[in-house]
Amino acid sequence: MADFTAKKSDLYDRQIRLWGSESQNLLQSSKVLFLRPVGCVTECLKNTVLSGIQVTIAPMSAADGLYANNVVAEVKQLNPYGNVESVDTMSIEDTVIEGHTLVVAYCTDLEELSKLSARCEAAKISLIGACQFGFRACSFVQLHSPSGPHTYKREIGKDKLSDPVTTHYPPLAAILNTKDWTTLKDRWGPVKHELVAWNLITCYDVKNSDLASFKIHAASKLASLELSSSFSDSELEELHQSQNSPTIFPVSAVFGGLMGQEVIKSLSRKGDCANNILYFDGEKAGTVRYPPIPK
Amino acid sequence: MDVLTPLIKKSSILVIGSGGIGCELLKNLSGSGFTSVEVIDLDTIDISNLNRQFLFRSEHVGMAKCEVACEASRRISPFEESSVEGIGFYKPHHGNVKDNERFGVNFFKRFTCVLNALDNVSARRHVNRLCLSAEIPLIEAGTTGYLGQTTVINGKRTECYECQPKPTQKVYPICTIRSTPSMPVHCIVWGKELYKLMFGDAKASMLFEDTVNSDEPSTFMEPVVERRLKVEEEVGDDLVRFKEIKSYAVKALKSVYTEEINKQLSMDRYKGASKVPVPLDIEKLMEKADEWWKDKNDYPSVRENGEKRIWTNEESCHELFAIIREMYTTSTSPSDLHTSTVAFDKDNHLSMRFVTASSNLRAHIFSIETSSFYTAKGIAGNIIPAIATTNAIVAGLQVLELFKILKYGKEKIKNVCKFTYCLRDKTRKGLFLQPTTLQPPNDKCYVCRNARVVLSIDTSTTTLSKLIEDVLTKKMSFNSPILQIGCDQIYEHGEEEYGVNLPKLLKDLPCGGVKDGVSLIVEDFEQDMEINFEICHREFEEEEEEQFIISGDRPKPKEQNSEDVVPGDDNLGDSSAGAAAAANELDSNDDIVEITEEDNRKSLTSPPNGNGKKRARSGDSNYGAVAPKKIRGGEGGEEAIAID
Repeated sequence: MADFTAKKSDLYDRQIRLWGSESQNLLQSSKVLFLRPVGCVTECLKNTVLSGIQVTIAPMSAADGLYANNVVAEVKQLNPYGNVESVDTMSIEDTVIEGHTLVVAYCTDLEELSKLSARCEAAKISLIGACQFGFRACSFVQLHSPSGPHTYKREIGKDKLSDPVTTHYPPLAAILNTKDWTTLKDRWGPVKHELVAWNLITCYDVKNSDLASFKIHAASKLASLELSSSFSDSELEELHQSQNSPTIFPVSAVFGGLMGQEVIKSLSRKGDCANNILYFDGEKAGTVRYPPIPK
Repeated sequence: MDVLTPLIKKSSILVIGSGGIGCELLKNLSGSGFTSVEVIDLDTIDISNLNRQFLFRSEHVGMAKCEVACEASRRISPFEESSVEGIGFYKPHHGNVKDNERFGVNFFKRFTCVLNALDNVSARRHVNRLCLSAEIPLIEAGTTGYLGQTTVINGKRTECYECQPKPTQKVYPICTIRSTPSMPVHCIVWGKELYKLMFGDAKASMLFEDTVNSDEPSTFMEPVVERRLKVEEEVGDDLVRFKEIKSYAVKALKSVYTEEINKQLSMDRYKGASKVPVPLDIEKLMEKADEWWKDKNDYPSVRENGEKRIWTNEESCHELFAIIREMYTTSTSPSDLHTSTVAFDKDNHLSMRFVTASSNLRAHIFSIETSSFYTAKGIAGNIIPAIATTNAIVAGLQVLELFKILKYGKEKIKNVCKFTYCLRDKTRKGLFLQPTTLQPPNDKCYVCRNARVVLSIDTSTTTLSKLIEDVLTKKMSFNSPILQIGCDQIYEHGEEEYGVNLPKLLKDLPCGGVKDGVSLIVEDFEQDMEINFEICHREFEEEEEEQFIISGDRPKPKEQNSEDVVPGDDNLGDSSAGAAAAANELDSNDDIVEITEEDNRKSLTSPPNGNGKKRARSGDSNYGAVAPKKIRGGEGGEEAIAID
């Protein structure tokens, strides 16, 4: 047994030297559910498993076929301590989220993500929902502590932590509501361009749309946000095109890495986490987070 | 991606390093459809790599990183072979990138782009020079814990890796280590040297003194070194052996921790010092040796929490006793410690236990804070924390920059590529990644602008060999220098005929000598470098950490506090601009500190041995990394980073 622990401390040595053994214990006792491991979510899964966090994977094999099953097999080899389980469910709605500290899901359908957000909110489980379109990737973050709102400590110098800080995360429904959207203007300058772009591409069913109807959809959305002139035609075309793009590996890597940092910060309850949207554009770089909607 | 696919197929990529960043890079390249990729790495896989170098498994420990990584990349790849003639399909090159026979400029010229995934400044410099010479874009990246950065270097149009000073290696004067330690790290360095003296190449230890020729050798020289000869001859029953080992251990430790300190005190060496060393009573601390002998599998470091808590002095003695016993009795240890030696290795438990215990006893004597095994290992091995996520981010950004180069051509690099910082906490504007514009070359860069360098050095006490080792090799990363005064060559690396000049003082070298005002030309064909040094004679105080100054073209970066080498410090505070430019992942074989040898201070202990051999420990903390707002002045400021 002593030998076992010794090896474990060797395996995790380089990260324990960064975040300390207390955080490492917190991580190892946490359990994260990965729904539909695709693109950046697979990358985040890889990073999570490597760090020693326990995970459950719901590959949704019906939807993603062989690839997702391969992911489970591959990921199981990543950590010699066997911290990976998988469940065989067919949809996000069927998957039991209880028993987990955090859910990470790949979800391009905002309605589906919104339902998941409500379920996680009710169960006091944290959620990171992400999707990717070409060079763009976006995730919605909603954190909870088991007993209530997300509580964490800031690092304020060497080996020093702040008093606990509590932050509230609004559920996705609150963000998608047009009214709250426009209130963004009041809290942090003009509405972020990226946030609007994300909303445009995720709120629209690309599979059944051509460019012309996408533009009509965009125009009405932008009008409702009083942002009609903020997107050029070519930018809208680019957005539409990105919806059909294949997963770009390095984009998955960067964004999955950023999501991984959020997973570690949130589970170890140390450091500020994104609240509540992360957006990445691989052609322009720069990842943006947003402040919560005020009560 | 449609535009990129044919460009990817046509390109050939050289990846240097297949560790933390390298694994991520290779996965991205392979998954993106790159087929013509070659990889250089000299390292082998260690258990502590597996928390992030995800192409490796436990069963690969000990194997060459590049070979395992290439095999995995071929497996990930949707293709079966290289699409560029003459370039391998994830072909590994197990070796040192500085090996010019294998990886010279012509080797580099075969590639469209070079991606660095290195863990040390010296190799980065070498690759920088080769890429400048071969006119190939270089995409550089580094990480330290949560922090990292990615940048692109394009021939002579953007800043090269050496345009901005890098944080220098922490250097400790020899007398600090030998006589006047004031910080844990001084004791740990000393512990490593004591290890070398007792079990390693004793003559190479900075504590070594020749007992015959030295005027006044330290009291511990004879018992520590000469005893090695006798113990190995010991045979006999258990009790005899115990007595021998115990008597040796007591004698050796006593000479180090009691007698030598008493001797120094009696000579008033610490008169006026703020803290006077207090010798240890080794006999008392070793009273329980017979109990220790009975159970050789029980010693402090294997007990509960033994590696995390700080040992008492008695426990440190117990550890040292157990180590000495192990070294002299087990069959796995060298049977002949006189001729075969055991080198220090931070990943070798026994040697780290020795360093922890021996340095703590010394720390106690000098009223310095003691360290746990775990902390001592971090300091002794200069371990830089490393995690999967940061590596994933910077490597992903590297490949995105590569896409831009393929798409827009290398002429456009300065306009389209970015220097991007990866942060742990958001900036005021809410950015986790902070892209900044690539800077033009620094006109004062001696690497990409052939700028003149002013070298201040004591030409009447410095030898040529010291100039070559300390200044040219270690400080400026020359690989195989050739030195000329005017048109006359005075030294060429690897040429025996010039060996005769090595022990000469600079002023006494042929062709008039290297003196104040002389222009010294140093060339390195392998790196396609030529630097014109203007020599400025200057005398240095022996306390000065470096006995030379390179100025004008190489402003001295702000000294890092040596405490910065202590890992576990998530130092996100303000740090110097120099430090920020190189948040390098330095987790492999980098050692702790560099020790400067210098003339001994009269008031201190016996002189260093006269063989002039350096006992250098390279190592580079680079720890207190990135404070992005301060770094890039001008257009690099936060306000300039518009996302849209």
